[in-house]
Amino acid sequence: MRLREGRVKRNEKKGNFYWMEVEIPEIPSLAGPGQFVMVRGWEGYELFLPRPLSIAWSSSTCLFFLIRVKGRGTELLSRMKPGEKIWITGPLGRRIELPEKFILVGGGIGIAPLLFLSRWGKGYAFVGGKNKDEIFGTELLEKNGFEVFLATEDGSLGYKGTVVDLFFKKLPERLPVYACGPRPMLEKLQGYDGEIYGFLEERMGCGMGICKGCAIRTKGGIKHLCTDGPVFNLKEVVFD
Amino acid sequence: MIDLSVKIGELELKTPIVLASGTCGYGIELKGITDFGAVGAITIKGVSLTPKEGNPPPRIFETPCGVLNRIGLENPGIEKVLELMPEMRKPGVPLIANLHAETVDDFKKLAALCMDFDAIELNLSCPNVKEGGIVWGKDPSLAGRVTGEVRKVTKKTLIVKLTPNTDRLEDVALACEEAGADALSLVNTYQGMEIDLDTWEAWRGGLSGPAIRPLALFAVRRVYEKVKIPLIGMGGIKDENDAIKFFLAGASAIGLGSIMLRDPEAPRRVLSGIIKYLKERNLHGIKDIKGRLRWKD
Repeated sequence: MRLREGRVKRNEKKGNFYWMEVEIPEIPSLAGPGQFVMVRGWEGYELFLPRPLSIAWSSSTCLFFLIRVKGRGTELLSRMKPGEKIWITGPLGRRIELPEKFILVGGGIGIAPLLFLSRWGKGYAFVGGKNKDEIFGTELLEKNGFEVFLATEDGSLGYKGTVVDLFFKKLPERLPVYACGPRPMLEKLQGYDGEIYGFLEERMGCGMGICKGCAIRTKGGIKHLCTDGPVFNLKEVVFD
Repeated sequence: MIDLSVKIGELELKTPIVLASGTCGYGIELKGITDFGAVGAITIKGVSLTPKEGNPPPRIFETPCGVLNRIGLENPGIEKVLELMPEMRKPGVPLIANLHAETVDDFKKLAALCMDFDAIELNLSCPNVKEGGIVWGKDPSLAGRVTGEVRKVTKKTLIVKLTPNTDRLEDVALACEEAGADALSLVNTYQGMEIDLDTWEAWRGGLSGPAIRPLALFAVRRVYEKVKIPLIGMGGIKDENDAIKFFLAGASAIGLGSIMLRDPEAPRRVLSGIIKYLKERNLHGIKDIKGRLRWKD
């Protein structure tokens, strides 16, 4: 998991997100479910740190990222053009063991790591966003054997309401759940009467466990997103 | 022939590149990533007598050309850290124990437990809780006293890491030298703050990264002009050019800190650049450039 140089192959706007494909042959075969990478698309030092990104998909030589512009780093990444150099360390984080059948619950950009998980099983996928421009990847999920349920807060696509409401309403079977999305969404999902795991998010420095920057609170004390996660048993997580 | 070895107290470094405390974990995490052949010594993440949970999140903020951190000295305590010794030894690089404590007694106890380390570094950027909560490294007499007391209980190479957050930096440095420090490392982070624009929440933290490099360089020079013991210069070093400036200012070795978060392969990159710089100028080692800047003002 050394620092590697890759090249952007494509970077397309999809609704409110960008779908970026990066040629970086050393990494895809090493990447497992639940892992992430640290990405830097600039040589200058004004933006000093790399950015943690979920692996959304992979081919034999490429990694795919789903990017939403949140700050300066993601803005720069969103503007990258095919052919440009990009630096990636990874895969990082803990690889998770998935059952054969499971449920995915993704809110907005939170769908990114769940797309990658869908490769390792089948089941049901609940996909939600503020509006239809925040819904991504449903075809890929269906192709991987997931029955998809859609929710948008403005009702522009699928059920009108939050993806969590839809999940509790439609819950087809009591299966292990893997969720990613904003904190309030994960907090509500803690009430699920079954196994529930969430991809957490925190400001990160190194991604490798050396800076202790990405701390989260759990019932078992402080844990670090980059080495203990990013996937945690949601029932163990203490949201402040 | 270029000789890159450096002597810091009794510590023989094969290269002048030291991994700074808090940005290389226990070295173990960097296995397979960092080329330890380029590393002169590893300074482990600061350790205290008992475990410390650290601060609640957020702990780290990116700032222009830098990082503001408030990790809060998280560590599992000296006992647990000593259990890691076999793993920490694997890179084959001298190990420096970075210690922090709230009392002189705790500093002494810690130092006495560090028999298996190659050197000890005292972090004087934390407060002296028993006596008014003043940060050790802000006050020359406090800094001198804690250094002297630790000196009594260990024969190991003793390094004192200085905080730049004092207007008495040179006096603190002198006091540590007089009290028996073998070397000084500087600088630790500069105190700063960050504010969330949506919530107006604010946090204090320590600033590091290229943003502080000119400040750190000036601090190293000021101390170099006052003391005789070797200096490990650090603060925002990102490449060989920065490193060489620290040597010219008077550092015997340099520390890589925040850059490790961005580029854990920085030691080899920086070392190759230093060698190239020396070769191109027909210089034979760090001693040929150490302290040799010429003030033009």
